[in-house]
Amino acid sequence: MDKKKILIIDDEFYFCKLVKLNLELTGEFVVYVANNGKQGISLARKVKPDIILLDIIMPGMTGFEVLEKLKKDKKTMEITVAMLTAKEDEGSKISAARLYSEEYIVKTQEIGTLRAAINDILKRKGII
Amino acid sequence: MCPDQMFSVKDVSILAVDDETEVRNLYDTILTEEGYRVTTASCGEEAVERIKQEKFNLLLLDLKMPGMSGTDVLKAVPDRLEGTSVIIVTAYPSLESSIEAIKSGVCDYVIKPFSPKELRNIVRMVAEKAKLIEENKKKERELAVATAAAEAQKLKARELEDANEKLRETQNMLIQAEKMRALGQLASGVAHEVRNPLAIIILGINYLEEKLPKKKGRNPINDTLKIIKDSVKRADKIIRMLYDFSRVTELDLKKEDINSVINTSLALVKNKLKLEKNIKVSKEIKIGLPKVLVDKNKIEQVFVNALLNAVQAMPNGGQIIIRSYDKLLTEPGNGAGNRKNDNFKVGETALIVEIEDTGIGISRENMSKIFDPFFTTKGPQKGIGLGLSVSKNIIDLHRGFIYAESEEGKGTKIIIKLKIAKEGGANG
Ligand SMILES: Nc1ncnc2c1ncn2[C@@H]1O[C@H](COP(=O)(O)OP(=O)(O)OP(=O)(O)O)[C@@H](O)[C@H]1O
Ligand SMILES: [Mg+2]
Repeated sequence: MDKKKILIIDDEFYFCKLVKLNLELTGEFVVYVANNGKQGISLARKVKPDIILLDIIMPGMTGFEVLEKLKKDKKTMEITVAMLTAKEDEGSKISAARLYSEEYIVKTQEIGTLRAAINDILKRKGII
Repeated sequence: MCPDQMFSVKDVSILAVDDETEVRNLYDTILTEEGYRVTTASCGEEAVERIKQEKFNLLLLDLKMPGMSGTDVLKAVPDRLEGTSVIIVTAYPSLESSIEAIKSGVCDYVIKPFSPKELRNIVRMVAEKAKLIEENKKKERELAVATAAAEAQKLKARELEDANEKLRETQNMLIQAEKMRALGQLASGVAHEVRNPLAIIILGINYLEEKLPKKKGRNPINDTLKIIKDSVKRADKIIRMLYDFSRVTELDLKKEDINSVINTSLALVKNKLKLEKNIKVSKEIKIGLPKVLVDKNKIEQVFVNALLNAVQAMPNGGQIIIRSYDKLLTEPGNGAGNRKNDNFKVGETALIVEIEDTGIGISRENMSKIFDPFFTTKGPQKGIGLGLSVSKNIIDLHRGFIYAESEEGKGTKIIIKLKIAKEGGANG
């Protein structure tokens, strides 16, 4: 099976690094990292990931702004985006739904749970 | 006199300040729809100009704006803002800015992004409070006049005094409730920042678990990893509680069968109960009960909190009984009657759930405190004292009633009264 490509856009440098280390350890994924929205968008256009994990609160461009740009760009509009959030939050969910985001992943959990959530989304989207 | 009757949104003027057009439009649409008089300003400078021209009842203020910030606005025209209730709207409250804002008399917080419902609730709460205070001041003035008047006026003064006392009571209650909410909001803002590093620590441990040479059985390395992980989880749990505490303002109401809510709650604590060997749980469920209009997850949370408290109150084992039944309320008291906080009428049938234990009980002295936030007798390792206060918030929001009966050394019964859903339509 092909390794699935994941792009994670989050300003927490350590968080990205550890998600990458953990996920790549499984041999199922290649993980690309961007620490801000702008870098994230250009990386998304370049590597065409299977899924993007996108943090909501970032300095500069917020996750929602990044999402909007991704969805308006022909090169990236088809890519599945899952918003990363520190908490389950109605307000954010509504904003995200308005901006056609598909999925939500809560950050504080063990890698096993995170991986299951990612696989679940990929399966639902017919990517695996 | 009930505040609902004297509260009319038509005489409430709001100035909404935000540099984002979208947010301003949202304010305009939602709050105008509610009937408020809404003025918007797109920056701090414009806000100050408006405040100089007109006196507003309520100010919705973005903290971070290019040019003059929210706090700058508050500092620029403090005199003109006397009597104006201020709600700060911010994406990411830092502790510092929050404290500064509270010092300058801010009433409440809304964290961005917010839902229309959240906005409506908070604005209404603050507006109601402002109205009450205004009303109260008016009464106070009247009272002063009346007291100064002749002997013959004494009777009238007495009446006014009573009214005044009542108003003051309501006002205090509202202010207290709001302070708690503001505190919760603050805590949740900080909690959010703490959750990121916690997530990182957990992922770090996960990596080490995979990478360290695996030794069989117990060994210091595995033990250490487990201790770190458990501790992080404990911290995360506290944060989640704080967060829950701050945001019980929205309900997702559906018609539910209370017995099935009880069953899910029991399932949720099943594992915990299994560990406590000598605890017996029994159900005394009435079948065919009418449905209740509730937010299932929130009511589950209430039952789980009560069940966990019961377990914790019986370190040497005992019995838990969970009951459900409906009851015609024939006497005033415990939420029934004509007082402001009475959600039930005498003669109304309520749905009642009781969670009873044979544990250590609650002392007389503590009975009045158990629903206060952060009141706990369990010590820092075990409790943070939010369980019952969150539960009370939830039940209040459902227009129900929660109270406790207890005898030290014998046991405790938590009693929850809920409204029965009306027949017909999905929302009752
Ligand atoms: N069933 C009970 N039996 C005896 N005491 C109780 C019972 N339920 C609550 N209490 C008392 O009320 C206090 C407050 O309860 P609450 O659930 O709010 O907080 P907590 O259990 O101490 O902490 P937390 O629920 O936040 O972990 C408890 O510390 C305890 O003293
Ligand atoms: Mg408790």
